Amino acid sequence: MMMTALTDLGQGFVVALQPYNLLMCFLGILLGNIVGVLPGMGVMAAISILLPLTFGMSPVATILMLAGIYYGAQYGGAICSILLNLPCHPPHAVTCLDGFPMTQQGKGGVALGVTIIASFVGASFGITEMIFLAPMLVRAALNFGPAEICSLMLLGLIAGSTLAKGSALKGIAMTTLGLLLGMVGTDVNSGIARFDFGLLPLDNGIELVALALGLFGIAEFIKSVNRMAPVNTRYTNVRMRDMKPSRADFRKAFFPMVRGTLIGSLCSLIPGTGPTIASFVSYALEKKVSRTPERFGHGAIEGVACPEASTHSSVQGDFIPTMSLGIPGDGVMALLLGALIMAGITPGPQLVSEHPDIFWGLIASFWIGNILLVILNVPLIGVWVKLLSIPYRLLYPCALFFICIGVYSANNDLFQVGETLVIGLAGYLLLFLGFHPAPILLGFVLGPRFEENFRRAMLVSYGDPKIFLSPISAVILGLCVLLVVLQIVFWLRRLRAGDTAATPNSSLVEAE
Amino acid sequence: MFSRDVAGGLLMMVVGSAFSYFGWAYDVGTLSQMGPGFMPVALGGILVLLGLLILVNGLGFIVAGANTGKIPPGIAAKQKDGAVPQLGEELHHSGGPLETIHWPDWRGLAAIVLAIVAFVMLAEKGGLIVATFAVVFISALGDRNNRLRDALLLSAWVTVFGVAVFYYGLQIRLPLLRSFR
Repeated sequence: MMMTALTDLGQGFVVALQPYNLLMCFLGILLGNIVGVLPGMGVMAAISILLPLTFGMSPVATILMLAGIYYGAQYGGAICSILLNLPCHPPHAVTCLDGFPMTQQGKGGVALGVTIIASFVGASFGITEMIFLAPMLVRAALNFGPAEICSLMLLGLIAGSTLAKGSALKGIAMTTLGLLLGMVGTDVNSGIARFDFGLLPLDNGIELVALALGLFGIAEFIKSVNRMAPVNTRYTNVRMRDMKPSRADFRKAFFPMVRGTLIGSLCSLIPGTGPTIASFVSYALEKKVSRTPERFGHGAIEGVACPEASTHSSVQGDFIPTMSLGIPGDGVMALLLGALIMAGITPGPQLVSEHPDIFWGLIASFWIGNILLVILNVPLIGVWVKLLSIPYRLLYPCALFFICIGVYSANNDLFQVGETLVIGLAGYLLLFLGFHPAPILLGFVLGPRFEENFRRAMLVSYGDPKIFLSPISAVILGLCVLLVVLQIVFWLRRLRAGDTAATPNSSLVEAE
Repeated sequence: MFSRDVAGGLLMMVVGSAFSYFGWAYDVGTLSQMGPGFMPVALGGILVLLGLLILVNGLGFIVAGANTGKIPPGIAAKQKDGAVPQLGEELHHSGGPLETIHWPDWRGLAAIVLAIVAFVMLAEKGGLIVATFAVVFISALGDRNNRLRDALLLSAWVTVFGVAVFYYGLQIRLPLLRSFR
């Protein structure tokens, strides 16, 4: 089995190294990196804005480019966090804690260098994990019936919405809202157009691009306009040679990197535990095992190395359930999954057997992509530093233009630009009321398939819900119940402590 | 007193019941033969229930007087150098009183909305050049620090870039410039 995985991987490299695919991977990383560096642009925004670029590409090129955009933006976000103290992507909130103090001490370059190494180490381990675990998962999943798939999706939905940051209850509400939004459009079974309000363009459902750009573009811009603190470029003087960590630095960062990698890969195995949780947990652990915990938060290099390694190994691991089961763990993965479905690929157990070129090509491209990331970032650091100083007041008008033109070019339809605006306003209202919109995407992408499988399961069992109690399904449902119970326990404990402000996440970091 | 959770819970209940209500008009069917209305009605019901829980949670915090609007310690630590964490940060935890949160910046909000509306109205009637210029110019005016000259320069640059990349490069299906009729 291991041998077949390795030969398949070889085939994957052949696919990923084709000049066109390689170019798209490179382009994805470059563009993702550029957008990710820009202050105020998160990974979600980067992927949403660049998504229209992939329309009309071959499926392989699409996924390679999207994956490239993902970790390009991820790394770009780290630059922004370390040099400007602006975490545009939640996992980087931890990197800021020690990264920015290092910058203030004039060691920002070293922090960036360590980040590059840590992300490469973490990603490499995550990719290896994927090579060996994904085929196993696929083999198990091929025996799943509609009931098991349904339970699994439910687990993914609950985990994705409760474990993310913020209130779990609100997360589940957002997932449900996403599921409902996924119902808009023509019903596959009966052909009836649901919730189209007589608007013909809505018969095809809400556009994923419109939804993503509305929620993560327009809503965020409305929230941030005139509210972004002016960017502090006092410390952003980083040259190429500043990035090389000294031997002492490297020695200090080595074991945190290894531990972070392991935590990240463990976290990625638990459904729904995305990079955010991985980075928080690894930081908390590093602080606990350190002999000098008081240095943390004041520029300890370990505090940069561990969360970055952890984030990247978890990011790679998150591709495992997304690609092999078709169940994304968080909003970013949901967006990638939706983009793949639009490109005509449906990720799931069948993908690996029917399109081995896509699956293994993707894995191979991960490695190529991560190497490109290293090669690209060392010489281009000066360019990124310049990009950092672009003020927000000039950025968001350009981004709005890209959103308009991107949504339009998805279907050459101006109606969808209007749709994006409406979604953006609704998304701002949700942000305003303290809801995080990322789970909406999770529900939206899984919604139609959840409904399809649920209906099929009930049809097979003649309406008897006991079909969900088959051994595999029962175990998965048990996990769902466990997650919900855990959340209630957390909630009760918080209620008793009377501390409404501390989320489980922030208390994790603060735990001494 | 009115909190974000109370408002959010109410909103979820309204949205959920709307989906259930309109879903009811489609065939609900039976458990073994579900109609197109089944899932919307069921999920709408669940959303109403969740909204109720959020609402009760919000009311509970108000009653307990636990609403201090306090900033979580991890985030407070990061604010030392005066930078306001804006993106990816939850400054005000859910349940906080409405008074402590930032009201929308109306000028920015209006500019962004108007800019997109202008794009939709102008793209086909006026062409790519007019629409691009409009969307960038109007939205740039939403920022109080952008002066008229900045906004003009920026929109001119983006228009040149947009035309080069999207019209000549990617051959987007929009006219370049069209006289209004």
